[in-house]
Amino acid sequence: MTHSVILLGGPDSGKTNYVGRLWTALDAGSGQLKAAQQPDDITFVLEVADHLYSGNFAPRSEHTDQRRDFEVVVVDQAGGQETAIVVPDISGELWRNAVLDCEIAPDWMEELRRAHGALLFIRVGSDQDVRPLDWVTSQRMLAKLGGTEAPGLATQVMLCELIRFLEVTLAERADGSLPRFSVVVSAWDLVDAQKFAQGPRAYLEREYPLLAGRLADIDRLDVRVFGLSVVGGDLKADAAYREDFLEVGLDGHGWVTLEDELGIWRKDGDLTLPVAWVVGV
Amino acid sequence: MSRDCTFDGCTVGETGVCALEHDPSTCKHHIAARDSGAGSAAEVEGESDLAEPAEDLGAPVLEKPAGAASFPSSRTLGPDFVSSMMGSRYVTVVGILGDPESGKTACLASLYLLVSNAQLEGWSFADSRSLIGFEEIARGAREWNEGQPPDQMTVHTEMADDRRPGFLHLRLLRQADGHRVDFALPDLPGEWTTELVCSARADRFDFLKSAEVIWVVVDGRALMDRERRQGVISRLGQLAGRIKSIFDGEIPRMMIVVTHRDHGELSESIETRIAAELAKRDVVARICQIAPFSECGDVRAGFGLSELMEATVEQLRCEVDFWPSSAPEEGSRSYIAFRRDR
Repeated sequence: MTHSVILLGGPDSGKTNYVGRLWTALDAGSGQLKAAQQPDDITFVLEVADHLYSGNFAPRSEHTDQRRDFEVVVVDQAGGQETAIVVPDISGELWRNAVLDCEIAPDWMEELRRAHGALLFIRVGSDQDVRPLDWVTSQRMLAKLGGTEAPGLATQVMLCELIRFLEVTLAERADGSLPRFSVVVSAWDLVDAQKFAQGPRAYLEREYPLLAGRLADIDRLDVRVFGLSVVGGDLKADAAYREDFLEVGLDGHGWVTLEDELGIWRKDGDLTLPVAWVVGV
Repeated sequence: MSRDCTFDGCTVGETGVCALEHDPSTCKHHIAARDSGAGSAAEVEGESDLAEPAEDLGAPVLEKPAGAASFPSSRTLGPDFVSSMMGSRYVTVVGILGDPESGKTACLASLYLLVSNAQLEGWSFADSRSLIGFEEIARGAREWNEGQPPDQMTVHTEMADDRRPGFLHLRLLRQADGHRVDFALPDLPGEWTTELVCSARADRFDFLKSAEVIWVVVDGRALMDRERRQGVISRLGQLAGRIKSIFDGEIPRMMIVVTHRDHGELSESIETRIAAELAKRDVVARICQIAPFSECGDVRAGFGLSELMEATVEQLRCEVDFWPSSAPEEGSRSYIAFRRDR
C-alpha cells in the first residue's frame, strides 16, 4: 500500500531539511518507522543529508521548479505491514503562488487528492516570515497615500489558505476517519526554556493568531502539533554545538516535541513521529 | 469574395450557401472560381507560404493553454454561498449601510486587523471563508471600479482586480463562553445607500431581510460639523424610513455606527437629536462610536469595535423567560394564550 504525504509551508520553512533528516532517521531504524529496504533513488535525500553531514543546513529550494519526490518503503517498528510512502518536496514559492492565484498545477491537485495526510511547516525566526498588516500601513494603503511599499501576503494568511486547500482536497482515511495533518514548528531549539514549556501551540497563538484560531476550529482534519529540531541545535550561530555535532555525527542529534497526556511538552529523539502519525501505520 | 467563388460577398466556400441562391454546382461564379483556382494553384502556392491548407479552416487559432486546477475562491462570497452556509449553521447576517466615505470599508478593514493581530478584546479568530477578501480590503486593493459602482451583487468568480459587492465571512470565538459566532458582513458600495435614500431603489437590498442587525455607518466628523450635522441626521431619518418600508414595519435591530471617534466624542445633544429624528419613524437605534483608524488624539485604532461586535450579538443571548410566574386568573386561558402577548 502506498501512502502519499504532502509537505506544505512557505519559503524557508524547513521542509527540505526535514526530508533529508527523515531519511537518515528512517535508515538508522531506531524510530517508530524504519526503512524496510534501501530505496532505488536517494539522490535528492542524499544531497540534502550531505549538507547536514557537513554541518550546514540545506539552502532554500525556492528556485527549484521541478518536483523532487522521496519514495521509501517503511515498516512499523513492531514489524507490521510494509508501506510505501512518497514525500514530494516542493518549493515554498509554489505554495505561495497557489494561494495568491487560488490555483495549482493539475498534477499537484491530483497529488493532494491522493494524499493520505500532510505536514505543514512553520519555522521559528525565519527571515521570510511576513507579519500581518498593521493600522499605519493599512491606512496609508486605503488612502492611497503612496510611499508605502505593499508588504507581501502575511504568512498566517497563507498558512490558513493552505489549510483550506487541504480541507477541500484530502480524502478520508481508509477506515473512514478524518485525514491526519501534522503542524510542525521547525527550528524549535531556538526558543527559550519558558516558550519551550508552553509548547508550539502557544507559540502559534502568539505569533500567528489566525492560524492558531483556524487550527482550533478544524473539523475536517485531525490535527496534531509538533516542535522540531532537525539537528538539535543551531549549526549557523552556535559554533561550539557545530563542533560537537561534526565530531559525533548526525545520529542522535535532532528531536521532536510532543504533548503528553498531562499537557507537558516532551522531547523525543524519534524524528519519524510527525510522518508516522500522519501515515498511521 | 470567397475562395470558391468569384462573386463579390459570396461565402459559398466557407458556409456552403450561395449569395445568389443558386445551386453551387451549376452557378457560373462558383465554377469559374473553381476553374481559375485550379489553374492558378501552383502560382498561389508559389506566391505565399502563408496560404492556409483548407483542413485548418475552423480549427482553433491558438493552442489551448495548460490549465491549472482551481481551489474555491476566498474573496467575497455571493448571496447563494451565504444561503448554503446558513443551511448548515447559524450565521449572523449584518446589514451594513452608509453613504460613500462614511467609513464602512475602514470599519471592516480595522476589524480584520484587530483579529489578525489578536487584539479584538474578548474575541479571537476561528475561521473565515473570505480571508483573501479581507486581506484585499485592508490593503485598499479593492476599489469600486473607477467610481462606477457595480449594479448587482455577484458571485465570487470574478477577476481579482474588480471589486464586486459580496459578503465577507468571519467566524469569531467569544472568549467569555467559548461560543463561536459566524458573521456575514456585506461589503457594498455607499452609492447603493445613497440611491436607497434618494430614489427608494431597494431591489438590491433583499438580503437585508435575513439580517439580524443593521449597522448604519455615519461619518462622525460630519456629525460634529455644525453645518453638515443637520443634513446627516435628516438623511438618517430618511434611511430609517426606507428600511421600514423594505420590511413593511418591523425592522431588525438597528445600530448607528459613528466612525472617526478619534476626532472627538459625540455630545449628548447630538445623540438626542439622532434619537428624536429616528423616533419620528418609530425606530430605536443604539449608537456605537468607533475609530477604525487613529489619526489624531489618543484614541487607539480599532477603538469600540469589540463593543460593536458584542452589541451585535447581544440580543442573541437574551433568553426568553420560559413561563413567567403570575397569579392565576379565572378564565384567562393561560395555557392557550401562552406567548401570544410576545
